[in-house]
Amino acid sequence: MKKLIYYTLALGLFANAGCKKFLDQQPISDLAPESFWKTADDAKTGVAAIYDGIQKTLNGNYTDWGDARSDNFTYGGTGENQINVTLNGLNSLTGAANWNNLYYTIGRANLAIKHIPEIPSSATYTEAIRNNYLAQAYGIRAYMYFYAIRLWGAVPVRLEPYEDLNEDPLAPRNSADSILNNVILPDLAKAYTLVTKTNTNVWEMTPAAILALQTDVYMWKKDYAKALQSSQDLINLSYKYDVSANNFTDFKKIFLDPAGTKEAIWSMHWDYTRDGGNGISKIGSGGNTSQYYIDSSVFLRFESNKNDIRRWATYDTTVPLTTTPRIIQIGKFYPVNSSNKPVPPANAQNDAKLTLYRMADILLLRAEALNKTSANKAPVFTIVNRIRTLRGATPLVATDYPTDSDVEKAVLDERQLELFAEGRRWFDLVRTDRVIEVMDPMVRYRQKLLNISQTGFDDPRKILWPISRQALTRNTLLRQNEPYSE
Amino acid sequence: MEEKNISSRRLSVPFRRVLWSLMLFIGCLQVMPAMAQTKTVEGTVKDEKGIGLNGITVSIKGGTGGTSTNANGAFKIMVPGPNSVLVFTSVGFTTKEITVGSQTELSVVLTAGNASMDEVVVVGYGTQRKKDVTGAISSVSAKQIEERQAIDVLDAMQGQAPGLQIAQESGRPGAGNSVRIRGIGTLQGGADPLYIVDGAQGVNIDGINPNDIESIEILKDAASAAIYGSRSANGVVIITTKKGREGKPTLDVRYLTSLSKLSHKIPQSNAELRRLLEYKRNGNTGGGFNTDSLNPSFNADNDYQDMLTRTANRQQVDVSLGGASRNLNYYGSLGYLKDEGIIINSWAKIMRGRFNIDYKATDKLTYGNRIQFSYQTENRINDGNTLNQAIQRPPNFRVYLPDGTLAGQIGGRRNPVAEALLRKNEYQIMDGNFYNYVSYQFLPELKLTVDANVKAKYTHHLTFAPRLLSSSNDNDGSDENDLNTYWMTQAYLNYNKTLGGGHTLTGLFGVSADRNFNRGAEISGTNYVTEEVTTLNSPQVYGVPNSREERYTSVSAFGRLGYSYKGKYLFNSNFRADASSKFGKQNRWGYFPSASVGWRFSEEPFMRWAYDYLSEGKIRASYGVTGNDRIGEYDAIRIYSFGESDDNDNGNWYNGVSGVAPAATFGNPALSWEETKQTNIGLDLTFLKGRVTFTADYYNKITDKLLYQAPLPYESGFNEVNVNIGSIQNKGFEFVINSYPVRNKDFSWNLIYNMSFNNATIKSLYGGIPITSTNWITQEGQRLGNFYGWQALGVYQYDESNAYTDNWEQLTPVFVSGTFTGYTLDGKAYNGTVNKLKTAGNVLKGGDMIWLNNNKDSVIDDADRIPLGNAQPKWIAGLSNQFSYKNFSLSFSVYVSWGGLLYDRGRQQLNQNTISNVTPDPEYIRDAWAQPGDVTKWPTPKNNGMGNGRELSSLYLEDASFIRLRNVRLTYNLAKNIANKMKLKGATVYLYGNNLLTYTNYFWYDPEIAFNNALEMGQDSGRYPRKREFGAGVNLNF
Repeated sequence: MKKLIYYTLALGLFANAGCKKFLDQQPISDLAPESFWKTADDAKTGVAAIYDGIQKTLNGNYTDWGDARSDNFTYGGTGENQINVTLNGLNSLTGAANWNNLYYTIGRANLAIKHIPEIPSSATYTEAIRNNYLAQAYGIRAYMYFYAIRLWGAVPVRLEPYEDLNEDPLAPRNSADSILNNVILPDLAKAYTLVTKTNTNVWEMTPAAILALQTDVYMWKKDYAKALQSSQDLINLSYKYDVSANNFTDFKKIFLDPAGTKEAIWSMHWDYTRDGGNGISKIGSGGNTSQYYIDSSVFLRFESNKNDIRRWATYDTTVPLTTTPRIIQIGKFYPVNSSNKPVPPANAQNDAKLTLYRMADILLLRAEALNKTSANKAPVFTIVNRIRTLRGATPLVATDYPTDSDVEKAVLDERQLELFAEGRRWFDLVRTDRVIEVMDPMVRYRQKLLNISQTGFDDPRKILWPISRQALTRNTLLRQNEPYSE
Repeated sequence: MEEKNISSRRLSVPFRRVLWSLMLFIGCLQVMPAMAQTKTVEGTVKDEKGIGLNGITVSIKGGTGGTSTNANGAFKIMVPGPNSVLVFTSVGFTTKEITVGSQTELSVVLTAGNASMDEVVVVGYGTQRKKDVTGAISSVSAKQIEERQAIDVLDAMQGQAPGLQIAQESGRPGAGNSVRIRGIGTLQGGADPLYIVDGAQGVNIDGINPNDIESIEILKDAASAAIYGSRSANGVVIITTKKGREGKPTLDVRYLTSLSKLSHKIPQSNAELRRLLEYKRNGNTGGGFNTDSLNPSFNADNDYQDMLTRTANRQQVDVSLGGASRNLNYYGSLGYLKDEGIIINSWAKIMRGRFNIDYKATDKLTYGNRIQFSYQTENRINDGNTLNQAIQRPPNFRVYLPDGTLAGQIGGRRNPVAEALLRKNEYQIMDGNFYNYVSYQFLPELKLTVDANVKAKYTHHLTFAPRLLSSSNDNDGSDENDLNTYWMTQAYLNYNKTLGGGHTLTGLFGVSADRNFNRGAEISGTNYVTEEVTTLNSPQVYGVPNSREERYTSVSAFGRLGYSYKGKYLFNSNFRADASSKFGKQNRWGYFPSASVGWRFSEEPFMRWAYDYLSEGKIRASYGVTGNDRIGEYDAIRIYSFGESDDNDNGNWYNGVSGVAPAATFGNPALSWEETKQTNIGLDLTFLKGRVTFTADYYNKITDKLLYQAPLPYESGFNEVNVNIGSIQNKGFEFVINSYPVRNKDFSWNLIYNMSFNNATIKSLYGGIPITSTNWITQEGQRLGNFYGWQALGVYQYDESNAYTDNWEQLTPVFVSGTFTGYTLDGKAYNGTVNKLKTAGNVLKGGDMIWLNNNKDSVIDDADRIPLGNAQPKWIAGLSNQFSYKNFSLSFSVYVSWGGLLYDRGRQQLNQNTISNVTPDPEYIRDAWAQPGDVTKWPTPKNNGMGNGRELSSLYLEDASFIRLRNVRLTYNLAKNIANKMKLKGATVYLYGNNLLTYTNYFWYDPEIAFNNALEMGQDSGRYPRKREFGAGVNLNF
């Protein structure tokens, strides 16, 4: 009996000693925070996660945010969401109103900005390499905030990672102007200082991508001189980005093989086996239906010039219009078969490489800036006509465009055809204050087709997106954009 | 590699411990006295009228063996010596104990009644006499299970105990169940009870053949459950499997077969109604009509429900062998079940085996094991791709091509028959459980038990969808392997002593440790070389392969103290301390105390006068703290993740680099146990010597420190954080009446009725922030399960009907010979401002839904959502009856669930008009608004972007009440003399029916719904329907 007690006690002691260790279980298939941001590889994989954040943010929203509300597209099929987006019926439950992925991306960039400098440098992980990683993080953070202010106006700002629960996670909205001046532009300046100047990798934030984004930001800010400066810096880079595609194959290259052309500045990499299906299938998929169809007004503009290579690069022109009254598939991002017909992939196997910035975009922004800053319209038409000639369209005649506004419209029209479905048109309309002018008749027409009251694009405050209900509930400091319901 | 090392090292700990203890015992054995002499005792057992009693259990007190009486009441048993005490027990009779002494022939008379109180119930780490129980415990006996023809353990328990709500997730063979004991007291912490099988945790209960079960005990209140500490907050279910009976070995062979059908079809539109729909959508001239009468694609008129369902067959064979000698008790069984589903090509096959041994090596040392294994294969039909598609698909679409082969998708609609026949979704589950114990009786009152349980479960899941089923002409498939291993070891001392003067003391002290490990791996691919081969060497394009592992550990110490004075005043107290690796370092240990008292007032002298009526009366009261540890393994740790994981399907890849990013759920290092404090007051009464028994319990269960994922502002870069904040209260009352309205020699009628009321309310939440998911709102002070959406008020008759005063009172338009002339309000002409309601940016018109304008602004949007009612049933009840006449018995049971709403999402999906080829139900198509002036509740049958089909609309919340005749069974026991002639000990044949009648107003298949998620209760998305089953079986005892 006594023996037993001793044995039990000994056993108990033995068990107790092992107990603490026994209970300390670390994740097996994940990393604890203290094991990350230690090596050069961690910087690489940490930055890859930020890019992955862009993929998640723009997957589908590329179209919803940049194109679907504009005159490029109208609703396809009978889905409720498409109708709401194209008829200015957004509300706080509309899926694309949720900014969660955008802020996750910012969160990942914040982590990188804080922790990458802590990683000790070595022979293979030099200061230059480290700075280039930091440049990616700053550049992408600016890019995400730029999307946010264009969509919602004032938004909360967080520049430090959230790493402690005791810290208050709530932040109020900051005005769009202050974010533009105090976050986006300084981040871009920092990114440009840090970036490796020889980097021309089209899938990354290169010097060219930073300057392109900077041009876009200054245009939004209506600071045309600075926009001209930034775009000039881009043109002056030693790696000569320029427009050049004057045939179908070269033009398709911008989308199918952006690394192989100097027209592309920054494209989003996509591999369906790693990233899943690409949301661009909303406008063209292997299925027999799309969420958005090309709007007839822009379709007729494409059809008016059958020689324009951008027409047959955008959709399948062999579809006989007599039996299929509408084009429902946009093939711009997809490979073509032997007869140059785009082949939309299955939704789950969509590999489209979406363009984020390309040279034609920047040159046309430059034309827009030149129109704003000078009475001499010749340089504007030089740019526009150079692109038109390359793409197989007849040059414009300056005298047909007597006023500044006419010239601006000519540039915008060119942008619409050149950058169709590349997430540009809606922001073009907002930037040039043309939303009501363009969209009011468009919405009225769509309402008429659906046999509902024709109220048009009734409230200019609705140019901003509503804040999603989810975001409002989570952050009690947020107030909804008027006139959407609180 | 490192994993394996760790696991083997850890595994060796309990084995070493068992080994040590074993050696210890062997050491002690050498000084044991030699075995006592054995002798044989014979006798008969009779009732008060002198009639021999059949089937009375005769066992040796403190021993393992036992036998039962034959048809004449005779028995024969070997006993160890003159000091042996024989115990005679049977349901319906008072248990009797007789010391053998020098007798070799016994004549025993058992008195009827007062039976249940002498039954023994299994409590944690021991047993208690029912009359000593002070907690709230319900029992289900082997006999009750037999009446049910249960497929599995949960099926056996359903409707048998108050406070227990069991619902199968769907009617699919092999479908899971939700088991809720006294409501749901957690939001995301896991709401299933803890299962203990023959003393072991972690045993796969799906691997248990219900025919192998001796009893099931359901520990409902905190005082009973708290001995299992941090895993007991949802209640504890203790399952005890059968042992052999002393005497000749018994061989039982059971066989049953049954036929099942869809219990009822739901109304579905035919081709003519589909044409009416096209007419209402597009008018006479519009598109949508099929004008080509020779086109084989669109000229069918299918009854999809007939095509997709069948009369399904179930076959079950069980063989069991059991026996006991004085030292050895064994029971083994093997069973095979083949269950076809009522949807074509759905099936499950399961083989289950068991081997139980108890070996009494000496008077003091006992060794035993419980070995269980099962092997299951199953083709799991996807309800969404078959049944839902069948209901939605236009009836005129083709199912077969003209050459008789199956057709693929058409117009974006899947072919449900092809889906059922060609899509593979096969599971293979192997499961083994090995439990060993050694117990040593140091003193008559002190016993040590050391045990170890090891489990392994392997699941293989293969999917394949051929090209025909795809919209993009691709085939695809996947192969997934999961391995789960678990071990637990326990050591505990039981103390049981009756002191002089009527004082009885019981005690328990023990420790335990366990570890759980999961490994999952998956590969997937497309573009198979051939569709003949669906293993994963066939794809030509592969997805990213993935494997993940998780592990948790816990250690515990526990104890119990019980005291009773003269069996009248009872006291029990449990205590447990648990530590788990799942929780934050600061909060690793949790402490779970409980206490309960009981007073058997019927034993008091002043109650003597009532003894003829009230033979037993007890009041119980208990209070205790239980816990819930069912969260993720690493929820307390902030993690960086990469590759594929549960909340991130595609990892964080970019351009060939696997990105590393923080998980969207923020790890909270202060994470701790969920704590449930429960008060229980109960009453047990037995009237008329056991003819009527009554048990009632009232409870108040408050869960504090709720574990859930609280939303974080997105701007933090995170989605949510695991927190320990908030509280839920479950309050309820439950009772059971068990009575014998008639009981005599030839005829008896047993009537059992149980009923429970439960209400779950939210007391507090993190920051007071309500949790809203798509269709529910969970907020402080409100009931759990509140639906949240728009209140439907009808359909605008005319465009002009959308007219309101400044106060948002609806105006009535006046038409004079078809021309609109103005408005009236309450019958008087109205000339004020007329306001119109908008939604989604547009003005509502005739044919659109009228929604309640809750916030009284000019827009119907998400700010107008209100709570629309609740999903919790008001009460549930079970009624079972058994009539026995001579060799015949007839039993039936009825189950009622009353009150509560059910969201008929299957119907909502049908009627929302967002996909043109989804065909609404007949009522909708006939009654939908078509022209100005129509008065109806169904809006215009097309999608005009006005949110007429929005989720959640009160239109699709339906009353979930139902009354169900759950099963009926007619049994004939072959007369003993005939059986004996056939060299049988006994034989039984029976006919039965399950799910025969249901009374309900619910539109879709079945109002009985599983309550899986506390935040999303009561949604029916169109599940695999329950079947109506008729069967027959035979049991033979050799």
